[in-house]
Amino acid sequence: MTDGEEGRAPDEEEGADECGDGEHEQRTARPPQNPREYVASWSERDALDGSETRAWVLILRTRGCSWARCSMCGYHGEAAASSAEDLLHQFETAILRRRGERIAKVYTSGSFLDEREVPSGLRTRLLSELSRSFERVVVESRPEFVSEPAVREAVAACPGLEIAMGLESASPRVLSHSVRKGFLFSDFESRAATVRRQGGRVRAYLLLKPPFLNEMEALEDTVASAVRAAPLCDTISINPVNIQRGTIVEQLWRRMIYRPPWLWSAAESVLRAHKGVAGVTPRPRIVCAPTAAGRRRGAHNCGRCDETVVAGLESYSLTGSTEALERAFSPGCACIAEWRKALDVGAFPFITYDALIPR
Amino acid sequence: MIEVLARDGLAREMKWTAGRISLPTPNILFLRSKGLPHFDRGEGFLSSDGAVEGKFTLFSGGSWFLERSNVASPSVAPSPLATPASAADPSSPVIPPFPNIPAGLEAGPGEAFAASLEGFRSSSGMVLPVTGVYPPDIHGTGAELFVFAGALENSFRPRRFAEELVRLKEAAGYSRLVYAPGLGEPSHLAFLAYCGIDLFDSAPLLAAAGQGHKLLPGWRASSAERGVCHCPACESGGDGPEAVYSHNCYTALSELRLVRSAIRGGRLRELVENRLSDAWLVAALRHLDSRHYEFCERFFPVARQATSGMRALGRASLTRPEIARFQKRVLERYRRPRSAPVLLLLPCSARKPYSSSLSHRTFRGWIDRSGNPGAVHEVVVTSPLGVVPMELESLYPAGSYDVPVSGDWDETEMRILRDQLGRFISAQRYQGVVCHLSGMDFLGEALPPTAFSTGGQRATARASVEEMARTLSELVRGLPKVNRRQANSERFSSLSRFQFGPGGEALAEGCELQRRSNDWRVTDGRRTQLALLQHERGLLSLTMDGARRLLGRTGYEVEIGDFKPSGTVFMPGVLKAGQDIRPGDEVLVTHAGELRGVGVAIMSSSEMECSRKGAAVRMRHHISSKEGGR
Repeated sequence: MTDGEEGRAPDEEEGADECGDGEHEQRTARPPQNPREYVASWSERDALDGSETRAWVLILRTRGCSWARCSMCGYHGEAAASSAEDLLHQFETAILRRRGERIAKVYTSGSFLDEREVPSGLRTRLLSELSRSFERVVVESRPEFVSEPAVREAVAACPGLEIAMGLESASPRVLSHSVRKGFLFSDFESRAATVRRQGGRVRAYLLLKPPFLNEMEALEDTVASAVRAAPLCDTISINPVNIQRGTIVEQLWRRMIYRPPWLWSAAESVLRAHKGVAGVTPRPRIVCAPTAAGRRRGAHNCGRCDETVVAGLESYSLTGSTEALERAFSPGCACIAEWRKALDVGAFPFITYDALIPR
Repeated sequence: MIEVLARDGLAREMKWTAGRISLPTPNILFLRSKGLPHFDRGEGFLSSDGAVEGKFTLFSGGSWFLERSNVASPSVAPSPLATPASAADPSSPVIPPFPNIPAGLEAGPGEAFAASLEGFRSSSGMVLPVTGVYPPDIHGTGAELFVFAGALENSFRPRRFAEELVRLKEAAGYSRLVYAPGLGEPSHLAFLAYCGIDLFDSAPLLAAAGQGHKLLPGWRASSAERGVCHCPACESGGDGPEAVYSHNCYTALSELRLVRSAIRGGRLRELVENRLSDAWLVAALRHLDSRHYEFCERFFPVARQATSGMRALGRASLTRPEIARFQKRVLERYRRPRSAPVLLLLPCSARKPYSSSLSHRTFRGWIDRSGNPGAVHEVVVTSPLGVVPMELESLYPAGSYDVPVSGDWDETEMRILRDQLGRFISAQRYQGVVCHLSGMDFLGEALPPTAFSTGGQRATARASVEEMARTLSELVRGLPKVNRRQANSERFSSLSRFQFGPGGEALAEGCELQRRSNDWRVTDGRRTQLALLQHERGLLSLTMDGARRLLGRTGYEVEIGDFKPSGTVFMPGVLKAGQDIRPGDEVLVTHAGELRGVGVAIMSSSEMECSRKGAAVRMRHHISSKEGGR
């Protein structure tokens, strides 16, 4: 896994199985979270400067995202009122499990650079420590916290720091009406420039198939967004939407009008984005590691070919070689025909084709 | 341009003309796009890439989310799918790009959406979506078609489906076409047409084929199964997804023809009930019947050709709007003949009208022997109508319904009968009740404690009818003698009131009835004919003199412009229509409070309110040119 969140894959659970009219969407309340426990930590395959290595991933439990309104994100359910001391405790417990990884990815369920989630003193301290023991450090933040002073301080503490932003899409309509991201491409653009000016690296997360877009629109939007963001990015991570608890996406899925993207779409978007960014210098690395791949709540195909496509995506993400993905397509599984139909019907956006095929 | 050819409830057969090509509806739009299999036998197409030569084509305006500015990038050419089709003919109908966001999930107000429609307002684009998200200003657009965007989603939630349908039909008005994207399985077509949805598409046929489902009306077979069908696709032996898709298309086309035929013949409800093979169809139909009766009922005719007699065969028939309306009017509008305070409850007969059956002729003979038959009010107790006063026996649906008779009653039927009878008896205040029924003991609690039961084991048995006559004669003994003329006149008054509401009684004052074979001629007691009651029609047909008696008293008046109507009154001529008018109703045609003629309504008042064209009233009589402005 390169960028996927295997520690945070949504739990498998039957959706829309209520009897009767299906009007009752039951939510089970989650138990309160312990502020001294981190959300998750794991080790995953990754690549650094062209060679394969492993990355240590930590999700800190903070007070949560300042925005917390995105249609596909259920991470705000992980928040707790953690103090600076709690966060330090989380970090220190987690780091004990590090096993020689060269890359560190430290995320919160919101923005690492948000003062209210991670106080700046602690932030600098954590970054300095990470910088000492890892060759590459990645943190994530919404653009509004990627300010000149914050970036300057962060990069000073951790030279070569990679700051990831969830751009999701370059399209204003997708950002405001589908993702509800609360910012636009121009915000990302200026903050990415800030990061680069301060000597940091930029990573963009792009969504594949946010709500209300059909399979074809999703594919086209992701590819177009990757190409548009490429000149500003060092890494572009394509994230197929998975069904998280308490989200609009989950509501649609329960109503049987949303199917997570096909893995074929993920593969196709990677192949097309790969070609699309060919002329960009420096050429950004493209990665794609779908969360919950092959499962009901994650990107999936028919079940027979899922592993092959996931392996192709992983191989591409680690090596930059499209060979394994291209091989997956030819001759490919019988379900490719069904996926192509879904794309073709996508030219009629008023037809919710997802509602007519198995989810 | 839209032309209504036939109506049956909310359903209609229409002709949609755009440019030089017309499309009959209800119809399926077959998806036309480069990658998809093309079914060339279709009559109408939904295209994302160019017109289908010589066939009616509706275009997809493409994606609202994929803005050209974002998609167009020199290094990645957008796939052809992302580029909306450009209709060759600018008058071709296009579905504009709009965000397919379910109601309640929109982010903020819809200015962006409204702006996206601007182009379609000013151009000749004729199509407009209603998603439930953005109720746009539909009436200024000239849109001829509405997209019922939530139809497929709500088919999983039948109660919501019914609610959204009614909301949409109310917003769209009767005279716009409605398209339900993603729906169009053969088994669903009859019901969807019944809902007043006119257009469907082949996406469900395509999806089913991909999953190996061969669709048949009311049935799904596996594509692996041979020998289930005779369509050209199956005869040529294919079982791959393309052949199955082709089979599904053929099946849908045949079913569509059947649906149109059922609409023309006034038998769509029967077809719908025949096709109730999915749980959601059953549930949605129940919701329409029970929760949206007021909305639906307005469109159902009050008379039908006897040949299309109603078949009330199952649980779903019990709540059919025409039946519910009949029951409601019996309880709310009807008033019994004044001089007939003795109620005689009789069983129904297979033969209609009841009075022509052998059993009822027998009953009639024994009633006559009671000594004062005019004081006896005969009322038939029958499922699923409940109670039918004898003078209403020719009215639709009492005059022409067919029910399965097994001698066993189910709970719902029993409840309906008991309820209807109990309320009827308490509303009509009888002095005596004779229950000449057998095998219907469950009615017990609906009857007053003083009621006599004379039905015995078999209502037609000699002993039973003798007992009935004996009981009746005791009950009528002290009552004033009612002569035949008065009895007829009072029964006619009840019928007129039932047809026209309370004001209808004015028609019967001092009237006289003459029987001519199966028909009754109604005069004012002198020479002037007021109305004619034909068994075939079931309703009263008015003369000009009869209509004058009703002028200003009923909700059955159609106000027209200042002209002399003859032949047919067409829509632009109608200024106002009384709320009570249903297709088939006898109506007065007036101008400024003055009678201009009488005729039969072709449309319901709801349709007259929002239609700009079409025949509204077929005239029977009208003022002569000599009569002038009188």
